[in-house]
Amino acid sequence: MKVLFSSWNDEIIDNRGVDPANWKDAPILKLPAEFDKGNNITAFMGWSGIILLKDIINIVDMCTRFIEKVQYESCGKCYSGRIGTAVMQKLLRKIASGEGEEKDLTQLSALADNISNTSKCSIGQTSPIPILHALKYFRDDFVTAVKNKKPVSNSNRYESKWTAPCYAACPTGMDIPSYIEFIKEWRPLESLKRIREASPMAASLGRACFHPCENNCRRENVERAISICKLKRFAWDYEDLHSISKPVNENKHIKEDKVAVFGAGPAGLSAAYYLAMMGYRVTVFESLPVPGGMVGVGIPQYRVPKEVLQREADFIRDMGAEIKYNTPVGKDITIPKLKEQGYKAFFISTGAHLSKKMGAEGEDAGYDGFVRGIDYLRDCVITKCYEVRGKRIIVVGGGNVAMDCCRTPVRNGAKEVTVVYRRTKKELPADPHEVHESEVEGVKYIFLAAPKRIVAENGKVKGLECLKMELGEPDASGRRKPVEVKGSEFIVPADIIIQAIGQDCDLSILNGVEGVKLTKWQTIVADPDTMQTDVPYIFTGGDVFNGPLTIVDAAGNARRAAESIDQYLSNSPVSLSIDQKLDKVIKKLGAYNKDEKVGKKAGWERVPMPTIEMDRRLGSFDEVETGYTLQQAIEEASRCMRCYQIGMVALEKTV
Amino acid sequence: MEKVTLTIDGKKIVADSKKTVLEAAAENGIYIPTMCYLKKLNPIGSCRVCLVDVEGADDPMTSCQLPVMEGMVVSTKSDRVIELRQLMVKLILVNHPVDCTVCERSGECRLQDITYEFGISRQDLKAEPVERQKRYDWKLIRYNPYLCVLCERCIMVCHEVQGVSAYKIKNNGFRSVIDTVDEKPLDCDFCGQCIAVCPVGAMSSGIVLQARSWELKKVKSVCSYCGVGCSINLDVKKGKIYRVTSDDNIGINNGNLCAMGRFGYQFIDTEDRIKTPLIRKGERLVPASWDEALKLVGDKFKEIKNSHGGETIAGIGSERAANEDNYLFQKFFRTVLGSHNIDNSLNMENSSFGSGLFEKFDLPLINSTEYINKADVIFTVGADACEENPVLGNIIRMAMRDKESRLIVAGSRDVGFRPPPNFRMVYKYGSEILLINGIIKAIVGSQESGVGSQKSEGIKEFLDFLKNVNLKDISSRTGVSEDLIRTIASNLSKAKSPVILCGREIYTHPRGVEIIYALQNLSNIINGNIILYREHCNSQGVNDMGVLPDMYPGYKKVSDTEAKENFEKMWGVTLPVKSKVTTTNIIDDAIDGRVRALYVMGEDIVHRSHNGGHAREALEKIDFIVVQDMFLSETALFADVVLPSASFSEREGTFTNMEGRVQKLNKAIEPIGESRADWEIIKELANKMGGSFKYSFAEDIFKEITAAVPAYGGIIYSSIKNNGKVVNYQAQFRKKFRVVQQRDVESIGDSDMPFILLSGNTFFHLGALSRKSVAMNMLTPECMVEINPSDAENLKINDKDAVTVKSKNGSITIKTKVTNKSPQGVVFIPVNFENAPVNALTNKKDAVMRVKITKAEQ
Repeated sequence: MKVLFSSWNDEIIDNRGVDPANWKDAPILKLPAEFDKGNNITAFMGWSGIILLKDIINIVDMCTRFIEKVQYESCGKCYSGRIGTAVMQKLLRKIASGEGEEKDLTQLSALADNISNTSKCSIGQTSPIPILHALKYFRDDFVTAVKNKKPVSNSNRYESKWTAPCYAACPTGMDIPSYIEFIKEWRPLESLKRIREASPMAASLGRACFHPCENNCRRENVERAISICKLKRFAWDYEDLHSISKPVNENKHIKEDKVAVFGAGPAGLSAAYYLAMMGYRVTVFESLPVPGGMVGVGIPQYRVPKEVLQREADFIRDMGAEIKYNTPVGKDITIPKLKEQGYKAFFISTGAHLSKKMGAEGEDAGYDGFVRGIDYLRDCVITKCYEVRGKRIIVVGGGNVAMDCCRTPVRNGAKEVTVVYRRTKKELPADPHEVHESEVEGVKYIFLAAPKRIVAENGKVKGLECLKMELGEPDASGRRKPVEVKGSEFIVPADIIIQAIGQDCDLSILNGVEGVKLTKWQTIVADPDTMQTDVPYIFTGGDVFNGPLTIVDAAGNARRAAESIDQYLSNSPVSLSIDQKLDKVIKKLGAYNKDEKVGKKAGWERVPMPTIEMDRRLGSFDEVETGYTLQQAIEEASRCMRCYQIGMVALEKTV
Repeated sequence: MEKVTLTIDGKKIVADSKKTVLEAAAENGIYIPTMCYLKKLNPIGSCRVCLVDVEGADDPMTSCQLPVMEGMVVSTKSDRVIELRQLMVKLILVNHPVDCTVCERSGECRLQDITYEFGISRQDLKAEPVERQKRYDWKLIRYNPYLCVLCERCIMVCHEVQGVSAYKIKNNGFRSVIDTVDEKPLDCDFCGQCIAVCPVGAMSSGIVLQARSWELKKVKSVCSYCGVGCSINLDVKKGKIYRVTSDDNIGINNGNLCAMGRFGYQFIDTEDRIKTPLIRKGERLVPASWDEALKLVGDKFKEIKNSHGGETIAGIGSERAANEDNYLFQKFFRTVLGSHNIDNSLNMENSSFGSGLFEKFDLPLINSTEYINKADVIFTVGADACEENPVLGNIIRMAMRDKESRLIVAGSRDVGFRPPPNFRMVYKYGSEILLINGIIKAIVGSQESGVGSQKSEGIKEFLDFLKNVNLKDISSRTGVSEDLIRTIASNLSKAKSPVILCGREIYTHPRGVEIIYALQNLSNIINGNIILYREHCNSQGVNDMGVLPDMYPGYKKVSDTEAKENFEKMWGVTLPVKSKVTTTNIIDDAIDGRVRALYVMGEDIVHRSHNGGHAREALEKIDFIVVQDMFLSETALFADVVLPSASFSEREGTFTNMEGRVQKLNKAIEPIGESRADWEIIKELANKMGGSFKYSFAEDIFKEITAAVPAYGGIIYSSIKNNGKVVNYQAQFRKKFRVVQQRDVESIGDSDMPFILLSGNTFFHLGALSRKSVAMNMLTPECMVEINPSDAENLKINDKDAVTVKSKNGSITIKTKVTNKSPQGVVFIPVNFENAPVNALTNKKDAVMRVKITKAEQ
């Protein structure tokens, strides 16, 4: 993008005095043009510097307003952040009001530098940065303000908000530094309360989240990211394992409006929770006998035990959401019928529970020994695991479902488990931690191989014929596309083949509903900000909207959808708040810079997660990870640097 | 423990890998200034004063939070960190009023010290002033936000050490202040830990200090309330105590005190203190001289001894008096009056926990609290650690924080703990033995081998007995679910160093001894240690000293002729052969007319007895009563002569705490009025009666105690320092299993009396002294009956309504406190209020009373 000036991420672009036609490009900057429809962003000031898009900003005024926000948000937990920024505020206000002196600039500059060096959290550490940039690159404006002895112009509208790299990366918008600090302070219950503001699924997320936060953790720039995910589990486990009266929902059923939620997966349960907390009467319809959706029947017990999930769902039930298990929708229960029964809004989160086909010969022949991954995992939970004792297993696929499919037979006494994947290890989409654990448990891998034909004898699987692959040009996903090597067929002998290459959505919930659009992947179309479909009373989230994605994305959709449903049912416009719009701006700009040099001493390693012994893993579905102990959790939480930072936009229009 | 090598200021240091840079530096004599850091708290990191530079890192870092790492090179004195530290202090001074002349913390203020240390004489930084509200509506705590540096020590000590978590930071930025979590007036334990840890004058006592810190002399002493025996300082100026303080790292309390320990000292100098001896003239007690009073007592005792025999003179010693007092008291009775007819309240109520403690039980019950520090599982039975012995609660909490100890709280009331215990069991009162047997059954049932192969005495019979123990049956009779019993059993059986704590509910229980037997079985199986709470500061000592009818000092039996000979030799007299005439206690004897005279030292038997009316009746029958006390107690009102005794702060001596730790009292002030130390009074009296007590100091008596009580042997009075000396009881203990059958507790009451009445100490009160302390009475001013919300609802009673509680024995009218702490069907009335005596309702030692509750007529 083209900017007038930028000092963002220490890269100076200065187009002042240059004809806009000849402005130098700033390719790394990704600031959206609009804040609201028809209201452009004219500048951004924040943790990493200043970005000016137009020459209509008085920098002295902007700095003053920024530091006022900083002082307003600073938590009061360190001397420099609390008092230091108050001194900066006084100096800036003095200068902006035309009462400043030359020496104030010197004092401001020295103070800003020192506060940056001493503060406890990043608000204090980063907020002086744009002020220092302003004093350096816009010194004249400050000198003029001092010399003119008149207040500077202050006609711009500014909006500002705190953020953090981990927070901005979390689809649920969880206040991660805060819940981690509560753990550090030995306040696990307060931590859990904070977690629940963004998601009621601390038990599942704390065990099986894809944790995009950890990929955006500044501690990774020092040595290793904080174990954000597992600390969440610690908070939930603490409540679960102690004799504690659970929180009560003081708003339970204070509203008359009924809302139907389809599917008790992470999206459905989360939406039900927030709607119940707002006082709505929520009913969740779930076709399976167990809660959790794909977490319940897709993720094996050794990662998320069934009992844990049940207690998590029971908590949501206790908050006032009715959950009807064994209740399939689409036939007897449809949206039009429920509407007649007085339901006012609907949240569709039926997930993606149909197995995709892998396109190999014989996969529809009904061979004994050929299983679809999703069915395999579900049967393991609900009825009975497919018998694998002493057998050779092939798992086709490289995602997290494939990982669950290969680690499950290991526990059921399979003789040998092999994963067949068409790209290389580097491209495996599964969580590397899961891949590592599978290898620890003895799973073998055949990379660069694609299934061609199921080899069978008398209707029984005998092996899988594969083709060798090589990597070609990058495809739409950015990964190099695997290309067949002609004539490279080879057979891997096997007794059982489990295919786990992806899932599709069952959309029978839309029976009798007009107007809900679908994508070409057969997922539901909705406004990604509000989760509202084209039918105003129908909202959606989770895999049925995203396609097979993560728990935390589903939970994030649901939190947003619940807010939208509330707006819809209270006859307010269904839209984002200013804070949410700011979050979007910051997300686009990027709250985390993986190249930033963080000035902390490296070497405080992440506390390893305790796991059970190998002999207990094989042949049992005992949870592999046992969770941090209190001391471990406190130590791990102490590594957190509280990377709060503040961003502020200037807007073209004041209304 | 893993070690790492690092360099600090050029000095090579080897440190434990779990240490911080600050700790490693301190261990090696390298000073890093700090302000918010406090050893007993997790590092806070708010003041930024302990910043250091580390090679390879651009930013300076707080050394209190920085772990040591291999090869680390630290500089604590770089120009940059020195400048930044200065800035931090200057920033505090931006809004800190330099009102040192009127600030009560002046002279012991960390900000003063550090400003001086850093040589800061001026600072040019300014911020726009913010109006803040002084909080003087927090009862015993006052908060001045203008003086506050927001170091968060108060927040953290309240949370981590006290478990109350009363405070938070309110507002952001420069407007931040400390406030209560709910922003209402403070309602907490009032332990005052927040005041103790405040580095400046922001948190101060509601008892406003009227002395400058440098005028105060700290006199080390021991708290005179409960059996924990906290080390305290009496801060004295010109013969007056101005406050009680404590030092971290001294005593078992680690600087922690409870409300009574810190604020409950005002009884020492109140109008109510008896200032002179008093002699009965008709209906009235009138002042008299010591000579007159002691002569009267001596003559009267002599007369009674001569005409009716020494054993008709009875004596009651004190759980609150020092060892020296109690020792001399029994010696006076045995050698001068020739009477073994002495006792103490604890022993009178249940001798198994007095004289019988070392004989009756197979395992030691007097154990060091070190066991708690090291425990991985702590099992409290009938103990309310947060309210009964709050500092013991602190010790448990620290074990939970630092050792991740699991806590199991069992009681007939839902006393809970803060932070929440791992498990909570509320059982039906009287079903304790069933429950413990059930837990043992669940442990043994799940351990196929192990227990059975033990060679311990009684194991076979015990295992046979267990066969018929049925968990389902136990669950229905105790009200505790089978699942919970199994879970707790599993936790206890997996524990490596479990400890079992028994509280007041157990040693006042009609089945107390059997409950302990059952717990001993459990302890044998899980290899645990049992710790018995002691209610008063010298409950242990009074028994050790032999204020017992059947035992000499050191639990030597009166019937033992060898012991008799030894004491005769030591004391140079001929001792009476006969032990006490009867097996009943002094009060019963008095009612039967067998007591002619009674000498009560530091005890209010009217108030302490389980049957107040009975005690009064006994006192009416006694011809001549001498009461030696600080206050005109209800017992003293029956006295013919009242002798004023000095408080613990006015004399020397020793207390023995619940661990058997002997700790020293030092004289802080002169005795109030004409009062005298108990031992001095006894000495005078003895000598007036022809005795030959030649003691000049408490130390002289202590020396004799070490000869008379083998367990105290070898302790040198002058060497009893900060942490006291632990007595070695040398008792023989053995692993022995006993079959303990459930026997239901008799309950007395009519059919219309549905509630079980339990009693105990209420928060902020213990014994006679707290009721004489203004501060304590402010916190808990009146007696209330605790009742479960659903019971209250059924009776249409609201919180604080006046009700009449009626038993077969009597009735009292008090207010209600509706609380979940009382399970349904159980009410609790504190024992601490003389104006609402719960012993008007109770009448039998080995039974529990049922009561009826009705709304009182307005």
